Amino acid sequence: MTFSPLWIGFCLAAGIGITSLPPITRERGGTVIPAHAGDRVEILARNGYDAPDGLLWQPDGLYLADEGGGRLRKFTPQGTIELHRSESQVQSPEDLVTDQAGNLYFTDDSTGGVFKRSATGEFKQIAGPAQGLRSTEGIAITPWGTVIVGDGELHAIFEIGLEGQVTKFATGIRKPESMVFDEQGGLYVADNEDNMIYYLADGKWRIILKDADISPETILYTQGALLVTDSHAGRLYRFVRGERPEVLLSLGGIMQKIQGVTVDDHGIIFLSVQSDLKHKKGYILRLDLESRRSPKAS
Amino acid sequence: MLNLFDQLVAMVATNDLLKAGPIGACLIAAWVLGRTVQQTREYRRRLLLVLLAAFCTVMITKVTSRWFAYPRPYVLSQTAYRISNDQLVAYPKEEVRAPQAEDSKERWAKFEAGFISSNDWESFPSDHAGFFGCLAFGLLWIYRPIGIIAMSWTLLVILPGKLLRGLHRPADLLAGLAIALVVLLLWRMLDRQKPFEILGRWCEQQNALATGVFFLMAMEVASTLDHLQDFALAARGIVRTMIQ
Repeated sequence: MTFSPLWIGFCLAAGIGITSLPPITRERGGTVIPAHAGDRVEILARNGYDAPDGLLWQPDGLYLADEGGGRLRKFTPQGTIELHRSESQVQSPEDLVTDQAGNLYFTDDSTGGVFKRSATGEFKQIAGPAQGLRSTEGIAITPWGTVIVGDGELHAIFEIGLEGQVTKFATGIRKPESMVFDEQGGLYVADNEDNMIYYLADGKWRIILKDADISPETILYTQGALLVTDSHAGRLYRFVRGERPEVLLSLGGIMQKIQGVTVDDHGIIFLSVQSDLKHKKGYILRLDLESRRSPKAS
Repeated sequence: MLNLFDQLVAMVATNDLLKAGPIGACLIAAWVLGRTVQQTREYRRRLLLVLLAAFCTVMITKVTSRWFAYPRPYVLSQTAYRISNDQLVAYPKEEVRAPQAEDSKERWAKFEAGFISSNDWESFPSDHAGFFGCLAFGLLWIYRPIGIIAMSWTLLVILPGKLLRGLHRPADLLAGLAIALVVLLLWRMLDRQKPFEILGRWCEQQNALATGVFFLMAMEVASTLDHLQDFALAARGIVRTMIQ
């Protein structure tokens, strides 16, 4: 047997190649990168969610709009509780919010419905196609107690009055995917078709973020800044008006489709990720921005 | 000195004339190389087959890299986690030196700010290695002296730049080359099949037109398919607009 230089080169290259092989697994790869090495990220809950979208932290658990499964769920350390299973009325719950009385409201972009689950567990539809709504997306409670919802097909925001009457609140926003009020009563609206965030204050609309590379999916106002998820680029940003958005977390591969965001009273961030729709896999991530805390505070 | 080396590596990586131009030139040379009508027809038929195999290789490497979703080495130079059995497990940190060339510095700064481009989440296998490997293997099959030039350029100039810039690991490049070889061997079985015979005859009858089309294809190869990618993006935008 002769060892030609070609064979030796081939064996050498194969040897070097094997040492740098990626991990071979049966599942598709996914990567999560916190912007600061000191920040801790972990999977809080997995599977059982077809396509988790809207996420809302409450003292009794995490409320989750499972868009793919057509269900509204509550996640607690003891397990997941199904609050409402898909019926003909609800097909794909999208975004959710609570009012001060503890009532939970959520939208359904497939049917155009807006639903209310009272603090006592009573469930009812408060608006929908009968009032002209078609594809309800973002939802928020106004400082004066009414509900506003964005409609992605009608490119408008509607207000549902205390008596249930539906009126036009604003128009000309291509896809009002998510909405939130700040403590001054200003309204932020994320439009993930036109890649913009609007701000309404003192009756004036302003574009406060317009970036072709940032497609805001869900926005959440907390501690003077917006947390913004971007399911196209797979990023979570912290955005302060007038400043450049700061990346807090980057996600790639199967983890890219980051959707909802919520924060608990300790500042821990929770995120919903639609990872594998075919195999009905979704995740809830927990992100602790430890690097931002001063040594004294921690 | 390091700066100069980085500039050189970046130039080879970003300058199409330096990077893929010689491969395009090899393709053109092989197109006009035949000394007899019979030989010219055979070379041209095989060249078209090799180009189809190369495009097929790119598609396979793209799909495979989506599955593995193994980030580029430079991305893993910071703390990162991969999903494994529904848990997040830390990746071993990779040592990658921050490049000094201007264009690389910009990319590096964006990366440090958390802006990782979508292309950088998937590095295994390398589509560049697959594409240029397929062309080089194909040229070796068609006419060995030209094939040796193409293979040498691929192995000594194009691919090492990928390693040095922290864009690929040796396994990425070897896997790309292996896929290229397998795809080309499979396509070679079609060499004497009727569709390629017809194509070969058409090239002979429509010499000027076929040469023009082949020139365009070689030019696209030399620009590493950038224009085709632009077309695909524009087409996607048009389709989306039409749907809405």
